[in-house]
Formats: sequence, C-alpha cells, structure tokens
Amino acid sequence: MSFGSVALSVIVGRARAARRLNTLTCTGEGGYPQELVPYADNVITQVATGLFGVREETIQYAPVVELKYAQGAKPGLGGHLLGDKVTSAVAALRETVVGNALFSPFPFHSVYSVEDNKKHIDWVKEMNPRALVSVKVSTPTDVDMVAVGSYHAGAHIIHFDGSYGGTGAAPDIAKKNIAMPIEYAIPKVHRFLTEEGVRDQVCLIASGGIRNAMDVAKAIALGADGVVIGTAELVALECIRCGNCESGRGCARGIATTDAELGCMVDEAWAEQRIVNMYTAWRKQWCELLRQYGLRSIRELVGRSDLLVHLDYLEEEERARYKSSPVEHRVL
Amino acid sequence: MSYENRDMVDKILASRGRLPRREVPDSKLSEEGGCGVTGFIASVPVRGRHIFTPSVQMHNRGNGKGGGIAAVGLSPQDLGVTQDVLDSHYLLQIALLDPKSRPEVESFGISPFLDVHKAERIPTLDDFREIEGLEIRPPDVWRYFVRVKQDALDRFAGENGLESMAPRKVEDEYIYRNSFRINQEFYASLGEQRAFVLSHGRNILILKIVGYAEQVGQYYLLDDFRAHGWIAHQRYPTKGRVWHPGGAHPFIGLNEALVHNGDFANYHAVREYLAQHNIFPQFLTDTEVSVLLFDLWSRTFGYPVEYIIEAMAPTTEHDFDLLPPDKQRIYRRIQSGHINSSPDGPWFFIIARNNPEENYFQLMGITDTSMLRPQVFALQEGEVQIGLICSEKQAIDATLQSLAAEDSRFCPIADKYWNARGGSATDGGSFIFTVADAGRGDGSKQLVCTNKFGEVVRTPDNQRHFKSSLDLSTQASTEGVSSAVEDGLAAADLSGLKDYCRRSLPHWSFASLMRLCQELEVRASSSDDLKSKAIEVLTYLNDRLISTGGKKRSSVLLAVRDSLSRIFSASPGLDESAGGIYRHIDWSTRDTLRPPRDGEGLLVVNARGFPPEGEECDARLIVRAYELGWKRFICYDYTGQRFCGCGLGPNSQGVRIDAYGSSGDYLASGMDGLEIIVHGNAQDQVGQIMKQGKLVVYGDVGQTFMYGAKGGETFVLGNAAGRPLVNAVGRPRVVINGTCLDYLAESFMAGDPLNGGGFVIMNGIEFDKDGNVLEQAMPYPGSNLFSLASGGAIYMRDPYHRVVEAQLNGGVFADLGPADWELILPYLEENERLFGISIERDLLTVKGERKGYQDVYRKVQAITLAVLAGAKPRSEH
Repeated sequence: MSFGSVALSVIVGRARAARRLNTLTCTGEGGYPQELVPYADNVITQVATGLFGVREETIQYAPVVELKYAQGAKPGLGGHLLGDKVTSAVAALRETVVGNALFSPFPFHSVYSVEDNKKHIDWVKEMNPRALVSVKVSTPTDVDMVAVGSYHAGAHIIHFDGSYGGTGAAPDIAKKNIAMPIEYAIPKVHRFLTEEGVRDQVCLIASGGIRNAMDVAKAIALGADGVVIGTAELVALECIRCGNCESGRGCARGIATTDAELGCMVDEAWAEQRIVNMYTAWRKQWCELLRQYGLRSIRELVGRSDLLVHLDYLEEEERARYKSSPVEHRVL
Repeated sequence: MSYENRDMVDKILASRGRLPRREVPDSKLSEEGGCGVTGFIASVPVRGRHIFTPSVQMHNRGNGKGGGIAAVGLSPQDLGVTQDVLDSHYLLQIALLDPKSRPEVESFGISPFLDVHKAERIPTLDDFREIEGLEIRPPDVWRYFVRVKQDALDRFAGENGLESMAPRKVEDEYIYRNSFRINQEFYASLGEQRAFVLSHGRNILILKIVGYAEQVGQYYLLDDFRAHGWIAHQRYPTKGRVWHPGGAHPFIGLNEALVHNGDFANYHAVREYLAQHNIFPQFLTDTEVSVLLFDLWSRTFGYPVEYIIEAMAPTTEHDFDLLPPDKQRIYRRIQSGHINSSPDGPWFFIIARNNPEENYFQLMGITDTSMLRPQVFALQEGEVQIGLICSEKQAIDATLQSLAAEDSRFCPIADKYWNARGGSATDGGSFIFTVADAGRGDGSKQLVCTNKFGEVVRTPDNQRHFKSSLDLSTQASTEGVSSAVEDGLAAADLSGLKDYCRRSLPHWSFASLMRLCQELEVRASSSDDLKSKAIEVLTYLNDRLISTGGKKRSSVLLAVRDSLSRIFSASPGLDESAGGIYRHIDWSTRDTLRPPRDGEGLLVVNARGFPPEGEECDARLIVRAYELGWKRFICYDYTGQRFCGCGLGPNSQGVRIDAYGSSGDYLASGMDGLEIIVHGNAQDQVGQIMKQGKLVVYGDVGQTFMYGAKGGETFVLGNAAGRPLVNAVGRPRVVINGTCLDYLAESFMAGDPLNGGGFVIMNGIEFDKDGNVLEQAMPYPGSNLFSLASGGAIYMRDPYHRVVEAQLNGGVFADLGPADWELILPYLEENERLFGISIERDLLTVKGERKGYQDVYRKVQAITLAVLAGAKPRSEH
C-alpha cells in the first residue's frame, strides 16, 4: 500500500499507529514521503521491482528493508498503478510522468536467481548495516525452497504473501488463482525450515487474506512468527470493499485515492486511532485465546498446529462439538 | 537428417526405451538459482591450479554445497597411459559413495562387458579434513580406461538393430547405456545411493564434491594435473543438507561436460520431451536435462553446433527478420520442432567438449535468448592462445593472473573482452573456442574463436606481447623518453606530455614504454605534485583507446597498471609519520583508519584481500573513511569487490573515487552526489537507483546498468550489456559511446528531456586498434528499444537510419530540433573532453563528410499509449 495507491493521510495514520503499538508499517512501492520521516523507526522501506522513490537515503532511514519480489495477489505480474492515480504529487515523489500508468516489472531485473538475491541483500546491508533485511515473496509450490534459499542468502525475515490478499487494483484473474493460499504455505515452510535446522534463525511473516484476530492466531499456530495486515486496516478506516481501488476517484471513503479532494476525507489522527482500536481489540481476543490454552505468550503459539482442527475434515457429529465463536473456542 | 539416419535414430531411441529403469519423481530435487561458472581452454595444456583462483573469487556465487570441475584434452603422462590409449579408450570415472560397493559395481557394470586397460583409485589427500571448510568427505573415485568387449558389442548391435551403424558410434552408445544401467542400479535418485558414474567420455573427466570447486582440485591433487580446457562450477542449491555430490555440476553427456548458471521454468516440459525420446534423467536437476538435450541433438540426431544452439536459444523478433532467407527457413523448422524443449528462463551454459572423430577440443558458452544471466567472454592470442568464459570479468582476470605468474607467454590482461547477445542474428548468443592441431607437424595446437555462425573472432594482427626477458637491453633508444618526461612534468599543463605519449606510443618498443613508466615512478616519489601528475599521465595511457602500434594493448595496459600500482602502494600508511596528501590503507592495515590530518586529503585503498561484501568489505571501509572526513579516494587492485561507492548517503557532493582494476557488481548503486571514475570495464548492476553525481566508465558496463536510476550524469566509453536504464525516472543523463545488447530504457519514465527530464545518448561507435573511431555495424542491434516508455528520450547516432520502427516498442522517431541539440551538446562536449571523441571529426563526420546534427542524430521519444494512460476497462466479475 504505497503512496499512490492510498491517500497520504492513511499512510501517515498507519505509521502513527505503528509507533503507538510498537510495530512496523511499510512504505510500499511509492517512495518515502517526507511526512513519514518522523516515524522512520517504525517504517519499513520497501525496495520493489520498479524501484520507485527508492534512494540510498530512504534505505538508510529504515530499521527493516523489504525486498519485494512478488505479491501473493498477483505473482508474476509485477505492479501497476494506473494513469488515473498518477497525480502530480504521486508523479513528483516517484519522479515520473503525470497521468501515465506506472509499471513495476516482474521480476527484479537485477535478481534472476538466488545468488543474485544474496548480492542484492548484501547491497542493502552495505548501505544500511543496522537494518534487518526482509524478503517478500509470494507462495509458489516450491515456497519452502525459496525460504531456505533466502535464509542462506542472508535474509533476516522471510515474508510470504498468499493468494487471498490484494486490494481491488489487483486483477481478478490473478487473485486467488495463482499463488498458494497462505494456510498451506506456512506449515510447509515452517516444517521444512525446522527439518533443515534453521527455523530458529529466521523470522517468518505471513500475509495475504488475514482478516481478523483469529486468522492471525491460526497463522501463528501454523508456524508463522507474525503477520502483515493490509486490507483489514483499511476496513478499520471504513473501507466498504467495493473494489474500485484502481481508479483515481473511485474510492467511496477516500482511502485508496490520491485525488486532492477525496484524499482529505481521512484524517491522520482519526486513522491512527481507528487502527489502534482495531489492534487493541484483537489483542483482547488473543489474550483470551492464550488463557484458554494456558500459554503465556503468543510466541508459545508458534507452530502449535496441534491446537487447530480443520472442521471440514471432521465427521458431522464431531464437528458439532466445536463452536466457531472465538470467545468460546473450546471443546464442549 | 537423411532418411537412413532417421531410421537409425528411431532404432537407437526405441531401444533405449527397453532399458530397465526405476520410477523417479518428475520434479526437481532442489531449486538452485544462479551459480558461479568459469572455464577456459588454451592451445597448450595448463595446470589445474589455475582454475582455483577464479573459483575462490566466485565463492559468493556458490554456497559450498556443491563444487565441480571438468577437464578436457588431458595429458597422458599425468594419467599414466599412452597418448593412443587416452585417445581411443573411454575414461570411466565412478564415484563410490559407499567405498565397499566397488566389487559389486565392477561385476555389475565393468568386468563382464568391458576390457579394462588400466584401473586405479585416483589419488587424494589422506584426510579430507586437511582442507579447511570441507565438511563432507568426497567420494572415492575409481578411474578405468576401457573399451567394450567385441562379443558384448556385437550382441548389443544385434539386439538393437544397429549393425549398420559405424562401430565407434555403437560403442559410444554402449558406454552411454552402460553408465545409465550402473546409475540405475547403484544411484537412482531417492533410491539407495551407493555409486554413480561421474564421466565416461574420451579424453575428458569430471570430479565433484560437496564443497567449493577449488576443493575438488585440492582433494584430488589436481594442482599439477595438465589439460587444455578446464571448467569449474560453484553450486548454490537452496536445500540446506546435501550429503553427496550427485547433483553438483558438471554433468556429462558422452564427450561433453556442461555447467550451468540459472534455472528453468519449464523443467517439466523438457523432461517430457526427453521422455518422448526414451531419455530419463536420474539426478533431477536442470543441468542434467540440459546435457541430455545436448547429447540427443549432437550425438543421436547429428546436428551441427549451430543448430543445437538455435534449438537451445531460438532467434526471435527483429533478429529473426535480419537472418538471410535460407537461414530463416531452417531456423523456423528447428524452432517448430524444438521450441517446447528449449530451456526457458535464465540460463547460461559453459560446455567443454572433446570431438575424438575430428580431433579437436572445444569450450563453448551459450546464453539464453533473453540474456538473463551474466556472462563475459575473453580472448588472448600470441605465442599461446587462450579463450575464457566466466560469470564475471574478475574471474577471467584472476585466471590470467594465475597463468601469467607461472608462464610468461600468458598476459594477465586479455586482448579482448565481450558479451554475447542471446538468440541474435549478429553473434547467435554463443561463442566457441576450438583447439585443434595447428598443422605445423609438431603436434602443436592452435585455438580459433568463432560465434554461432562460424564467423571468426580475432584480435589485431601483427601485435606482440611483452615478455620481460626481451627488450630491456636496448636502453640507448630510450634516452629521449627521459628528457621528454622531465620537460613534460615541469610544464603546468600536462597536455604536452600526454600528446607526446600518444604520438610516441605506436613507435615505442616495450623498452621505451617501460622507461616512461620508470621515469614517472621515480619522479612520483619525489613530491605529491609530481606524483599526481605521474598518475594522471599513466591513467591517460590506461583509459584512452590510443594506438599501441606493434604492441599488444593488453601488454601496454599491464605495464601501465603495474606502474600505477607501484606508485599507489608507495604512498605512506596512516600510521607512518610522513607529510603529503596521499595516505595508503590495505587489508592488513585496515585498523589504522583515522580522520585525515593536516594536509592529508587522498586515501589510497588497496582492495586486494578485502572480502567482496559484508561488514569487512572495502566499500564499508570507504563509508567509514568518508564519515571520518576523507573525500578523495583511489581504490586499486580490485578483484571483483562489490558495492564501491555505495552507502555514502545523500548529498555526497565533493567526494571522488577513482577505481582501478576489476571492480565488482553494484558499483555506484545508490550514489547520491559523489563522483566515481572507473578506469576499466565496470560490472553488472552498476548505478542502480543512482540519484545524483557523475559516473565515468573507461570501458564497458555489464547487465542492468542504472536500473531504477533517478538522475546523475554518466559517461560510458564502450558498450552496455542487456537492460540498461530499465525503469529509470527523474533526470538521468547518459552517454553510451558504444551500443547495448537489448532492452535499452524499458519503461523509461524520465519526464520531458527538454524540460529537465532524462535521456540517453547512444553513439554506436567503437575504436580500431589505431585509435580511430569507427561506426558499429548497427547503432542498436536489439529488438526492443524504449519499450513501454512514458518519458525521456533516446538520442541515437544513426546517420544511415539503420534502426527501424520494428525495433521500437512503444517509442516513436521524432524530429530532432535545435532545442534538442542544445540540450545534448554540453554532454557531447564533456564526452569529448573525457574520451577524446571529437564532435566535429568523429561524431558529425560521416564517411569523411561533415554533416549537420539533424542528419546524424535521431531522437526516439515516448508516445502516449492507450494502455498506459487512464484507467483500465473494468475487469470481469
């Protein structure tokens, strides 16, 4: 979610919320607006295939630098920002031409292989030795190999983006149809890295269609260390999921827009508070869940897939013993 | 192929289907991406130790989980057989993963069918742990010189209907299948893995281990083992635990060994194609299927090399249109029959090969049509000749340095370095070095380099290499040099001395050149002023493509660079008490780094010995030095160290780095203000996301030059490889005096050049050996120029309008007006100052006639494409 795809106030609101919650948000691929600099300690700089707005300076700001190779919603398709949304402010930050669609190519032209990936990671470390390097990939069938390859290339964080994410701007034909759903990818990678003996040395982050507190808990129980939330935060800002994200003035709530007029519908402070509210509410649910399981920290939940059941795989009678409400999520 | 041949091919393939085989999974065992590949072949046999240095320097392209080497054109003495046996017998090498399996292997696959001339366990170090970092014991390897027993061969031919085939071909096929049987019985992926065949060709061998390539040589004692051709591979399998080297490269066909950098997207399709021909892989890697394809097309189908290359890397787009009609007809046939089995995705192959029938050895490099992997070719000719193919130029230089240190017939610098243009009509994306008998009757050999189409690549005739034993006696003739240097350095302006050097160099002997260098060195030690002048003069000789007369340019460069290095290294260290602006630092004194003191201003960094990346690398040292207040740097003796000039942060104006030697990837990537001068070729990923500053390259640049750049001014004396200026935005201003391979300025978005935006000037010229400017055959040979661009412009020197609409892919030719000329003129003037390329005499003069700028330059600019502007039509719901 870059400057260009969503309004500046949304980006800054998210960064402010990240600071309050002691977590991180990401620039996306649209450059690093000056307004984010005060929150730099909580902002991940994304280096994506178009390299829009990426400068040495913006890499040096960041505690985490994310190399985005693909997006789960549209793997192999690169990124696009359609002409409508390339307003003069967007074009200025990205140093491009107003009104012309912007393409992020697929793949990274300087990275065609795992040893190029190592070189790329080394490059980021050379410019900013204190940064953690995150590698964002989608979930192909050999996602486990990609993960272990990235680990050996020196990545600190491996971020998998499954196929169920993406805003309305991702092509329908790609969403849910190319990459693997994240719930298949997480255990595959978790298990493989555990077998390889390197699971403890790398941080696994999952994203792509994670909608609520229980989705987060499930992702973690399947083997992720943490998650990245995109659309749910926008829903907290009253996104109505109409799917008109790609057009310049299509967003009914002024979230996914850079239009001068629509872009002021969201206020930074309000956005910050809404997002903080959402995560605080989620936290309550997680605490409840952990209490039920007798766990002291959400870290203890990582990889506890034994605590999950797949209702679809159960006989009807057995299924009836489970209630789906998160509050009373226990065997009766 | 003729009809009889086809009949035979059918019989061979059909009978292969009867070989018993186990089921193996139809997916790859492990993903592996790029790797480090290197190879060379020489007209004389050279020792195995010379493949070590380049292998070590490419450690960062592998991860120590698979290394291998192959050697072709071996020495009978080193193997303890006669030349005749070496030529006629198959050299079967079997890796015994389980040392106890040898009797079984021999009774299963050797003794009943093969006459063994000689069998031995190849010598190794007593204990593999003597090699630092080697964790897994390499397999015992047994070597057998074999022929097939006559009765076994007759029975084989009879059973398979191959009686009418030439006996040697039947025997080849027998050996090939016998190895398949041995592997099926003792290896077969996922089965019990006890032994496998490493190689079985004639006069060629392969060894591989779980480790780095050079450790193969150390463990199997190949330091002094001689061969004409060597290839090495550093593997980068992503799977962490590898316990045996079955999946490491090289892989064997019959008489060819192949190493590979990249990975296929269509492994499954290639496998299917092979299965249709009854060929079944056993090691489940891309590399194995590649060599199986090569063997099928070469040995079974009997295709000439050109057709094999076409089948691997098809000629497409504009390049196809440029082919002569008869070639188009054949290529179309080849493509329709093989496109589904053409390896798709990034790949680069190096193949070492013996052709015993026609008695030559070959080394070939083939790049994929899209040129997605790095590749550099080099050639050196003279008393001995050598051709080299590597992932990185620094590996070539490392090989040559290693050879030259032992044998003065080699020079540490090649005569020629170049890239192949994949699937092209110009070179076909492949070069082949062939070593065959020189016809001098003394058994000596000579090397010829050809491209896919058989066109010979040459270095300038009538030039010779410098040999230290010669020349120096003729001191008398060099007296004039001394006084010229004296006078030249005394003048305030060095142009007189430079001019003298330029005029004299063609006539000078090596002795005179050495004298010049010595004189400059002596004077450089007397004062900082003379030192900087001496550096400037020598740098001029290093940078400019001026005539060297009867002397090889590589030898001239060697003398000049050695001299420069001596001047640089004579600078006092940071812990020495000495005056002057120059201070020296190297790997051993890196801890002495401190802020500059009074009068100090130039830090000389010897990059040799620094790791190519990581916290300890020289690029980080430069950053720390910059933070301490140093602004001027001379970095020399580079051996591929990466990231030079990265990490200084924004607004680094006033900093200047001069880089000498084999600088590495990602140079100047991220630079935002400073100035970097590369005195030689630059590598891949140079100037990525560059924002401001000035970059000058006295040579060529590699792949993806200035990817995502935002600005800065860049001047390149030579060519750029594939994909320069992709996704560049803002206001980058670039002069490339040569041309590019393809995909120049794809998705270029650099605004309106007449209004502060960016542009590329491409001159399409080159220099001959006399330093004259020539036009290249095509100002831009690629099929894609300015694809999907939405801003900026290309100014192309194309007086004959050789570039056509079909090459533009979203761009359009536009009128070049006075405003354009006014815009680019200052850059051409700076270009003239830097490289001596005259606007009047060289650029605006066409066939001896002075033309107007609008008759010489053409402008390509973006057109507004419907797909780019406005919203897309609503997608289906």
